[in-house]
Amino acid sequence: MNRLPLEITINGEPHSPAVEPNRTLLELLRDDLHLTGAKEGCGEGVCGSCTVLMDGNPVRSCLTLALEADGSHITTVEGLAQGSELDPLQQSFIDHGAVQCGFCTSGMLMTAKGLLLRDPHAGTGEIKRALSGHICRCTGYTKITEAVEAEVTRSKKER
Amino acid sequence: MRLPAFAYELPRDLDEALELLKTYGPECKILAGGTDLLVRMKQGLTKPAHLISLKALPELATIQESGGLLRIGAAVRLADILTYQPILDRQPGLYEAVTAIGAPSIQHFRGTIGGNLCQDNRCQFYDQSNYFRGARQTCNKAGGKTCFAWEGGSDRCHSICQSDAAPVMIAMDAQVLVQSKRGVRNLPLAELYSGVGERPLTLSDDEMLIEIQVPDSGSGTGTAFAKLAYRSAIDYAVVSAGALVRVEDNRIVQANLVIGAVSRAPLKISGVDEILKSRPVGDQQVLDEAGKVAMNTAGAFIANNVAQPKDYRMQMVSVMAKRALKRALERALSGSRTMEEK
Repeated sequence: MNRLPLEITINGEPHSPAVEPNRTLLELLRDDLHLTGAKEGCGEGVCGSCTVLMDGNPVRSCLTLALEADGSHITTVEGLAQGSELDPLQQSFIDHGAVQCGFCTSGMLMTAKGLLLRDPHAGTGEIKRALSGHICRCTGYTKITEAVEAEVTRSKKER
Repeated sequence: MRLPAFAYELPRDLDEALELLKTYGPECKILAGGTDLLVRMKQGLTKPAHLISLKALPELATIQESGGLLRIGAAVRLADILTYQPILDRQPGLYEAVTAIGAPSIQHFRGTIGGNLCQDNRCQFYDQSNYFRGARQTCNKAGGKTCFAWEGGSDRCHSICQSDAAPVMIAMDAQVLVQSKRGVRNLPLAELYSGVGERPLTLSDDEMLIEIQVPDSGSGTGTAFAKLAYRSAIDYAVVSAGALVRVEDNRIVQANLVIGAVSRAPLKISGVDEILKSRPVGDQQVLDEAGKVAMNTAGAFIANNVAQPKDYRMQMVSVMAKRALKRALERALSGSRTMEEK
């Protein structure tokens, strides 16, 4: 198959790989760039574990062609931390025990991050609604919601 | 899961896109958000040789208001509809329906309104992996000669239209603009649906949905959408209902009810208009009667195409119909047309 050129910024770094049309963004991230934070769960857009931010908005990387992401800025879970300093949202997940087996965590983090970028004052309803497309088979939803709520409260205090 | 191979086409304007559609016809599919198409390609349900991306056609992704019409481009993302204030203010039924599609992080930032309306029909025996389907004969929709959703089999496909946006938009008398190299067609949204399970849309192979036009229904009109699903997100409807009710001088002068997720095309319940118009606004029984009519009409179409039992779905048609009509009527009477704060 013909490979086509692609210009994409991932976690702030520009990349210009040549990709096959049927390469998904998830395959590009995991298999080509070895950014394995985004997981493949269902592969059909149902479970949420492959979620990354595309220009600040959560998208399912398993249902996004790499070519459709041409020209966009992608943030994966690897791009949240600043050096060795975790993103406050990541820290909040740890502090609230919102991580169990960890498979859904990167997707949950990215969607929550996307929500807080759009609406830093999101209430419980909005948080639950935003995360409603994510499945946690450890069923740790309460802790995850609490972790995001706590981050909203913390960032309010800081401002 | 790997996607099968295809050629990726990136037209730079609408004319180029229509030219590609004309050239490749049945060999190609239009790729908008991909949240429906790519899943079906992964499952081996469709194998287009070419995908025509709408990525470089921003003209299809705008919302405009002109001449009493809300004109929504086919490639407008669901998230953009939800943040468009006039829709939230004046078309609460449409807002409710779009909210109900998929889940925010799946569909809303990639999925488009045109994609929701043009999604393929679904059936629990068809929308499955190759492996699952391999255990049975090939059904009508997959090119075979049987139907597992219809008791005793059938020579027709009994898949259902699972668009959440379609019922309420049909109730709102929306029109669609369809274009090809041969020209432009304007038709009621209801006529976009063929009622044929194997090929649910009336679009020709070289045609493309361009725009959806929703009339601004004016004061005294209320719209609503009700959906029954087991989960509040990432779930298809068991039964859904879209309604529009128009009130003048405290009398109902128009009532449209469209039931979704029960038949091959969104099902317009024609008897409801007569029933509601004939009676005073406050009459509670009239909604029960309308619900019964909806249930009886839908009853002829309901097949075993989703996981829930047929009898249950039939009864739920009545409930969803009443919910949608009641809320639409309340909104029509309140006159403000705005959505109650959630």
